[in-house]
Amino acid sequence: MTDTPMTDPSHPTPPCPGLLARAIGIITAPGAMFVHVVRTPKVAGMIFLVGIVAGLAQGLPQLTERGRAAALEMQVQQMENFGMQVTDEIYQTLEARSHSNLGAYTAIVGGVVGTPFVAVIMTTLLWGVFNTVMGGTASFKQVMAVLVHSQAVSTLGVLFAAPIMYARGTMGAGVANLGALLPMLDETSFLAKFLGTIDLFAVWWVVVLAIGLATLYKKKANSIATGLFVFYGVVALIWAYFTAG
Amino acid sequence: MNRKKLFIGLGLVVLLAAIAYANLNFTRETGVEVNIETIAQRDLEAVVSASGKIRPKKSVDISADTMGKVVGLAVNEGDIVTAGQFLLQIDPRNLQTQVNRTKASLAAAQSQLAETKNSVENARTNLKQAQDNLARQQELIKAGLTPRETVDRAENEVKLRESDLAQRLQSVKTQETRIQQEEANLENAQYDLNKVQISSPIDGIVTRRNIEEGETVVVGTMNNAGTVLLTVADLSVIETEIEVDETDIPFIRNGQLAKVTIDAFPEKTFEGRVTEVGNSAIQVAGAATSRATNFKVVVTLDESVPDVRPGFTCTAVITTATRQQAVSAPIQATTVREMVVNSDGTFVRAPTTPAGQVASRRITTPAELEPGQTRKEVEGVFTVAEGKAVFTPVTFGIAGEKYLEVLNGLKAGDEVITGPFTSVRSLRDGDPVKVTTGFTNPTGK
Repeated sequence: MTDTPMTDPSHPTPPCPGLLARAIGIITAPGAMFVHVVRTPKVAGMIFLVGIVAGLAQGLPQLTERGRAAALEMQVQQMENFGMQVTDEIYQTLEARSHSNLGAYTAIVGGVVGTPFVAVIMTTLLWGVFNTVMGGTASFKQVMAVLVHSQAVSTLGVLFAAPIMYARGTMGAGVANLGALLPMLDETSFLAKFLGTIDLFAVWWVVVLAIGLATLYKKKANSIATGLFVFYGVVALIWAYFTAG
Repeated sequence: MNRKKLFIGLGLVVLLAAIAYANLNFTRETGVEVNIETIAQRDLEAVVSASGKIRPKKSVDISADTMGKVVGLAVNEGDIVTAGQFLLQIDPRNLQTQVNRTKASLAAAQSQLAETKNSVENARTNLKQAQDNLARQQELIKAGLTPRETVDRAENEVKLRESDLAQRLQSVKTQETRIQQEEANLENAQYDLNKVQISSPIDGIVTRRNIEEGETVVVGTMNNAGTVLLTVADLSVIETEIEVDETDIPFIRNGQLAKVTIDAFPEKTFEGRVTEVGNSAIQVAGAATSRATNFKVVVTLDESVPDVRPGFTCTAVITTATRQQAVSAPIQATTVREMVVNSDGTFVRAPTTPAGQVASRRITTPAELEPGQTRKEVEGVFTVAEGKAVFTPVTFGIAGEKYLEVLNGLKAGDEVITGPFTSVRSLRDGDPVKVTTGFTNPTGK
């Protein structure tokens, strides 16, 4: 990854805002903030912030009894989704393991370590599409900077969901989806599954990402957002189709 | 622009607040779809089913008591015979010769006895003559007309004749004993001769014939099926000998009604009663240790079975208990769960999940039990109350074909979860459920 200077050396460059300012700026004024991000692409600080927040949001609740129970329920649910029969003996074993704080620490470390991996994969996809297919010229680092800064919205979503999930005693499932507003729907119905995949923070993140990519590639944000939403919608439909009862 | 942002921000906050509220206050019930059935009163019949073979109540295996060639065979399999009817003849010549020889020996002994008796008479005459001579010589010696030597000779002659008579009398006794011996030999030979002619010991049907005319038979021995020549069975009374599993045997009693289906006559059922319950497990030579332990039970049929053959396979269904209009639960609704039980026998249920929280399936560990509490497996059913499965311990009585008698825990009209099977198996007390179908079967059929 090499930095591509986007500034005119003859004019003084305004200083790049700090990490927290950039995170807040992405949420409150994404268009303006992405100008700074694209001009001075910084990745490490934001990716650590996103990762640590995600890890803490997952891990800290597991230091409490309720959080441990929620994590245990999520684990059991995942095992049953894979067709495993969770007997009382297996459940007791899992429960005994959940009493240690290992799960919490694993979640925190996993957030910090896993976020960069996910970011690299997604950046590769975006860079491949916009540079190779659409003929863009942005550097990999710029794309990655745009991506990880857009994830400030996802981090906000994590911060929003964490207390709600803690209060409900659940973990893993999204809380800001449209399905939450329609609890009367049959959980296994196609509509409930589809609306369950439409997460407000994900929508917000797509919009912000589209603004960032538009700033980077000097294209219309609406076009990019439309493309991303079509992709999101198709994935949501396919998911709903295959998981509906 | 700022105002627009303000409105967007406010809208977003309101939307998120609504979502947060919905998450915390509206919990979607993720109930498992279940079928239910209404508890009702039904006539119940507890049965034990087992398979076995048909056999006649009375059956006689006929073997030979003597060795020889079969020279006459009067019956075939399936022939009806009466008691005493001639069945087969073994070559009698050897035994007839033995009889004749023994008769001759007897005649010779009798003749010899007659001779000996005649010699006894001669000895008596000789003794009388010697005694008379002695008396005469004693008169003469008194008169001094004979020497002493002559008297002594006469006395010795008397003693000699007495001894001879005693010997002859003893010979008579010996001959008489010999005659008795020869008579016994003759009787034995004649008895052996009678054995070559075999007759039916009972009224019945020849169910097996293992011999052909001209073949040589050997003397029959126990536990050697190869020496059985014929089998005559009385098919007027038929039994079934079935093998009942050890877990069912405690419920079997003499006199219990049974319905027997013979595989050869599948369209008809024969009624009978238990007449024998084995007390020892059936021993199978060389059987693997994993083989189930069974006990012999005999069911005697109340009616005759036309065209029956011993050895037909059959299935007997024995009625071990009946109940009239008993409160009963479907068998598929029954399940077992581990529950915490107080010292007084009451059950401890998991606390109800507060609104907005997801129900946990957490299990009370032994360390968390309060004094006096124990965990034990409890048999029961799941009922439905306010959209949730409620595990209800039930005491069951007899088991019918599809329903179990309820002694305690349920009443008529209660609704129990009967399926799907995987749901009944994995349900937990308090799990949300969605009833898809209800069913009432008042007959229990």
